[in-house]
This record gives sequence, C-alpha cells and structure tokens, in this order.
Amino acid sequence: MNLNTPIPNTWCPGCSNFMILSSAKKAVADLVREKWAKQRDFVTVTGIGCHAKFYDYINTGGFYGLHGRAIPAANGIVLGNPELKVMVFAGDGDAYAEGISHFVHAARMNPNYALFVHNNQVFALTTGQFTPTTEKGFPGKSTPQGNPFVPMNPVAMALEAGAGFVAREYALDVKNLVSTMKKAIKHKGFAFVDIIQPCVTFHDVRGYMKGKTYRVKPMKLDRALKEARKWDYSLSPRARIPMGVFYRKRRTTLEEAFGAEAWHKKHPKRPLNGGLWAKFKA
Amino acid sequence: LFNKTINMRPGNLIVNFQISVAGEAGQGIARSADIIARDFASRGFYVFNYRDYGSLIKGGENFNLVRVGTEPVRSNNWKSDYAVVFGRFSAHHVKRLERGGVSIGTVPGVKARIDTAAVLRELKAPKIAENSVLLGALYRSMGQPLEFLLRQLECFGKHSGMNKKAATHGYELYGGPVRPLKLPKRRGTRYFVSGSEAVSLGAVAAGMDVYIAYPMTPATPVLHILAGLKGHDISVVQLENEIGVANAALGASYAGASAMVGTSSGGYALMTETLSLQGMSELPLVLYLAMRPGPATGVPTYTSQGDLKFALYGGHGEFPRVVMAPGDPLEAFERMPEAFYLANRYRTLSVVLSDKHLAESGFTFDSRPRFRVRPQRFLAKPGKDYKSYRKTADGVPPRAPAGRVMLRATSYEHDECGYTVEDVGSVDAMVENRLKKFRTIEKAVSALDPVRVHGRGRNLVVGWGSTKGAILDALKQVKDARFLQICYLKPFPAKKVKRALESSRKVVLVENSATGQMADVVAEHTGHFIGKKVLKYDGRPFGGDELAARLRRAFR
Repeated sequence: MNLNTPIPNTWCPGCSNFMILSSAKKAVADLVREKWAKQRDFVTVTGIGCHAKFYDYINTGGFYGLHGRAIPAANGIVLGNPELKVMVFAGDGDAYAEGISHFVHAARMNPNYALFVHNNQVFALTTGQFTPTTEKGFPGKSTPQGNPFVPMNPVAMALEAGAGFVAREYALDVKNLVSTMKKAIKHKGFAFVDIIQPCVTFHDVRGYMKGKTYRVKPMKLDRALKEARKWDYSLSPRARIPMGVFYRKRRTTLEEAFGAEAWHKKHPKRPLNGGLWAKFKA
Repeated sequence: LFNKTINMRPGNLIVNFQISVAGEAGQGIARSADIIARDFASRGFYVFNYRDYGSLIKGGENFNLVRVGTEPVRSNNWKSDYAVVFGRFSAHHVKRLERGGVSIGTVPGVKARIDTAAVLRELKAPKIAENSVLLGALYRSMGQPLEFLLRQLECFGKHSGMNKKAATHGYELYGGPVRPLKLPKRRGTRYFVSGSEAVSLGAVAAGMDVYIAYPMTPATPVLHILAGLKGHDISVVQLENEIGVANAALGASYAGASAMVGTSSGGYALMTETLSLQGMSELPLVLYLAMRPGPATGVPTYTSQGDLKFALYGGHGEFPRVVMAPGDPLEAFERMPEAFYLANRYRTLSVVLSDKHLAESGFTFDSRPRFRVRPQRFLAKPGKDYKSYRKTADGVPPRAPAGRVMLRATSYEHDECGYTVEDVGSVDAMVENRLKKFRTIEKAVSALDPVRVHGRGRNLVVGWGSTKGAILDALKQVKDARFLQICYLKPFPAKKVKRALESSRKVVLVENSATGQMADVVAEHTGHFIGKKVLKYDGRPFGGDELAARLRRAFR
C-alpha cells in the first residue's frame, strides 16, 4: 500500500499540516490493514486553501472541490455510492466562512463521512486575513486596526446543530489525532473533528496551546455543550482547552433516509423505459 | 355555432372551443380544469390546458384555460366560449368571452348565476365541493352527458361520492342558457401530459439515479413528481440550497451515478459557480432549468424565456456544454435521454431549458416518444493504467466510477492523472484537450435533429422552446410562412439555421422576452441579423390568435 504521491509538497517549512497529513495516512493505513476497507474505497474531498493540497499529497480517490463546497460535494458522493469511505478536509475559511450553511446542515442531515477542519484561525493561502474563528483584535492584512469580531465556537455549533460525532484535536498531538481520526472515519454518520492547527507563518498558537489542554471522553449532550463552551477560541491567557471526543450518537444517515444505493447494485436494464409514457394515457 | 371557433367543412366537423375556470387559489381551479381536460382527452379530443396563478396559496385570482379541438390544439386564446367564474376577484373573466359565450358562476354579471351555497347546504357538503356543483352546471350548459363528468370525478378518491352528488345537483338544477356542443365521435389514444411530468418521467426513462433540488417555482413540480414515484431505483433529495444541490450532484456523478438537478432562474444563478466546476472536473451533470420572468424574484409564477443567454453562458471560464430546449412535453420526454447520453458520454453539462409555460401547461399527443439515443452511464472498466483525465483524440477522458479506481476530480487545472499543475506547457495542453470536446459534442448533436422545420412557406418564423405551440397554432392563420424550431441552442446548429435564413423572404423571431435574445445568438453564429422580433414580456405566453395577428402584421 502506497499512500504517497509523486507531487512535491509546497506547504511552508514547519507547517502543522504535515502532521495532519501523516496522521491521516496513518489512519487510512491502519484501517486498510485492519481490513475495514480497501485503499481505493477511500475518497479524500477537499475545499480550497492550504489544507486542500491534501488532495495532491494522499494517494486515495480525490475530489478537489470549490472553496466552501467540500461538504456538499461529499454529501453527493455518499448519495451516489454509500459504500465509499469519504474523508472531507476543509479549512476554517472553507467550513466556517464560505461554507457555513453546508456545515450546519450536514450536522443536521448526518451524511456518512468524517469532516476534518484544519482550523488555523486565519486565511493563510490568501496571506493572512481573519476567519470566523480568529480571536478579536487579530491584526490581519484586511483589518490592520484589529479583527473587530468575536470568534465563533464550531464545536458548540456542531453539537447544537445535531452532529452525531463531535471532537476537537490538536495537530501536534499526533497520537490522539490518529486515534480520533480513525474513530471519526468509522463512525456511521457525520463525524466532525475541529483540528487546532498552528499556522507558523500567519497565526502561530504553538506557544499559546502549551499546557492548556486536557482530555475529555464522550458525554451526554448537555454536558458536552457545557464542556465545549469552556474555550471560546479567543486565545485568553487563562483558558483551559478540552480535547478529544465530546459526543457520539448513531442516527439515521442522509443516504439511509433517501434510500440511496450504489449504481452497480441497480437493475441493469432500467434505462430507456419507454413504457413510462403510457402513464400519461388520458 | 360560435363565431370563429367552430367551422364546418364538407364531411368533416372541425370543433375548437375554450373553457375558462376562474376563482381563488384553494377553490380547486386547477383541479376543475384538469377534470375537464382529462374528460375531453380521454374521449379522443386534443386538449391544451393553460394554468395562470399568483404567488399565494389561498385567495387571489387564479384561472385555467382549457382549449379543446378535433385537430391538435397547442395554445390558448384570451377569450373563451364557456366560463366558470366563482372567485371574489375573478368577475372580469365574465367579459373575456367570445360572442355568444356562456358564463356560469357565483359572481355578478354571469349569464347563469348559481347559488352554490344553497346547494352545498342542502347536500351538507363542504365549501370545497363548490367547484363540482359548477362543473355539473357547465356540462349541462355544454349539452354534454353527465356520465363523462362523473367518471372523471373518481379522481377525488374517498371524496368522489360527495363530489359526484354535488355535480349531479349542479347538472340537474341548472336553468341557464344551453349552448350544446355538437361533437363528432372521436377515437384514438390521447396522452395528456405537462412539461414537468414529461421531464420527470423522461429522466427516469433515461436511467437517472439521483435527482437533487431545492424548491423553486416553476421547477418544483419535477421535484414533487419524482419524489412521489415508487419502484424506479431513484433517490430524490432536497438539500439546503442550490449551491449545495449542484455540488452534491457532481459528487454523486463522481461516485458513478447519473445525476440531475432542477431549478429555476435565481437558483440557476446560485449554481453557476458549480457549473464552472463541472467544466473543469468533467463530471457529467444534467440540469433542468425552468425559467420565469426576472430580474431577481421577478414574477415567480409566470413565464419567460429571458434567461436564454444566461443558460448558454452562465459560469466562469471557458468550457463546453449542451443546452436543449424542448418545445412541448413529447419533445421533453424524447430529449431527456439525449441530455443524459450527452452528459455521460462526453463528460459534460446538459442543460434542459424549459419555462413555466411548458412546465405547467397540459398538452395532448397521439403518438408515443421515439428515442434517438440509448443512454447509459458510460463507465469504463478501468485497467491498471487508468488516468482520470487521459488525453484522447476526441478530448473526452474515459469515465470511471470512484471506488473501482482511485478516481480524481478537481477544480484546479491538472495533469492527466488529476494532480494539480500550474506550469506553462501543462496548462495549455490540458486546455487544448478540453477544447477538442467543443467539436466532438458539436458533431454528436448535429445527428440529433438540432433544428426542425414545420410547415411550408417563403417567410420564416424563428423560435425555440415553449413558443412552439402558439407558433404552430398561429401559422394556420398566416399565409406562406414556415417555422424554424431551434431545439439545440448549444452547440448551436449554425449551418442549418443559416441555410434556413438564407432561403427565406422575411424572417421574424418569436420570443417570450423583452429583448429577443435569440436574434443575438443567431447573429453570433451565422452573421445574420434578424431585425423583426415579435416579443412578449408580461409573464404570459403568446395566445394562438394573438400571435397570428402579430405575425400577419410582421410579414406584411
């Protein structure tokens, strides 16, 4: 099994995307080795941004979508063939700015795939503007006076919107990241992992994150929400940041709800049913 | 009998008359018209049913016009021979009568005013049965046997008994003027179908796997019809917005499904970003676009052809697409397999262009559809050396389903394997490979009757889409003119259109729009300018007689 591609990597030296990439490859390799799925069953769906170069760097099926639209493309993939193992990688600009409506509705509709958001709290590939999860006061290139908005909390939002698997991980904590990724991929339904990802060039939170995190285990929804609200992404110096899987629940998936099945399971002689016209007989 | 509407010819009785039903939304206007239309269609007559309704659910002023003939009828006129009028705001329909016409109803000014409230009280029937009382009265005034009506009222299911009783009362109590129709005996099977029904079942016939949509008038009926179908192996899914819909359809297509989306003008605007993704990713997609008058929210429940150029060009970047415009439901049913065939075979976008008039009007046909192609998914059995974007002589990379192969689909410029490229040499090579598809698709479409010529004459009417019905009806009253129907708007059948233009004396464009966009499209592709345009932009379709008068003037 070769999960590498011949494409030269163009992330900044020291970028924490490297850790997320190696974690994803490890997760896929483990799942293939466990015979949970074949390599060609995996599909990597990405949006647009630094994270999205994943598409070129991992040797699975790939769908390099539009900015903000990785989620709806993945909705269609599982509707078209529910047997595919879909991993969606999106940025915070992707999932929380341009594609926020898709994010909220995917949490509700529960399509069967894992969504990993590379949350570096900044638009990096466009050279440093605030995103919906950037802390207030951040001096971006579009807001030299400081970001005037408070950040949103995607973990709390996913829980409120009905997501059946909600987690947060840290890009540099590879061991926990791999383990949560595997759980998310295996979860039947929409599995959301917000990955705090230091951007070494425009938004470096490595120092901030040091010693602030603690682990949580799946809990009931009310408690999970309470726990999720303990950190509001504002980079306040005294914060404690919960990490791990907050919530886990099996619900009917989007493709189950609409009776979707793979094309190869359908009756081969379906098309050109001219007899349908007879239904219009007056 | 009636001026203009019924002509006697030796040995052949030609009948052509119109019934209007007008009232408030929620009173069963559309249902009543459907019952009348289905009755005459089932008896072997040709029928056309025009539906006019506002953007509201209860109240207001809705009406239907049902035209009936012994020869094909494909459009309405704005005056009727019989009118059933019972809404608070519909009294003006009493005046929209041909000379000698009969009006029946509950509003002031009708020739036969009927106290439906009293009838319903006596029957202890609910207000909703009012239309059945009036239908009974209408059948009496037309001199038509009650049994025909009662047979159609079976459509009310468990409420049919009550409706039949109401209709029988209306029939028996009617004391107004009677203008009996002398109808010849008709035989032959008639198919009664709306554009929405034809698009829906045509898509199923073409092997569609997934239909994804967000509700928007006038495309919504297709979503409803498909969602209501059982046993056809299709998934019908409503998603959060048109952007989500279009992207999901490409996702489904990536997974190997035959995918289709449906929307109207504003929803199409939201989808254009994704159409561009289609152009780059080359994932097959069929898009049903039912136009309505814009700009913006415009006149949501009315008709327009004003999005022609938007349908042809919507989306950033340069990429090929197919745009077809069926002229009636039979054509729509026949063209749907072509839409899927072209999309899947050439990994392209097929737009099926319709509008409110085609989508929601009822037409009759006496023939069955003939298919020009056999659609399939065109999924290659990928070998070890499969490449998602292999360069080929015709510019079409073989299609394969995700899962069988590690398929790549991308919004970025890419190499043959689907990996991102930005360098000189790679970028232009891939652009050139995609450019070949323009020519390939053009060749394929030229074999699918992209234009049709109806009738004979030295003058030429140019039209496309839903104006076909009114044009054909109008040409019966216009001397020396034939009709060039452009069925494929992209790739544009330039040679065939040019030939028709050059062999005609006077040319007139008929379009349901304010600017006559087809004239520009024709000029772009043929260098010919059509100076004379017969346009209509009040949201209503052309009436047959109305168009005939305007064409006679234009050709003078």
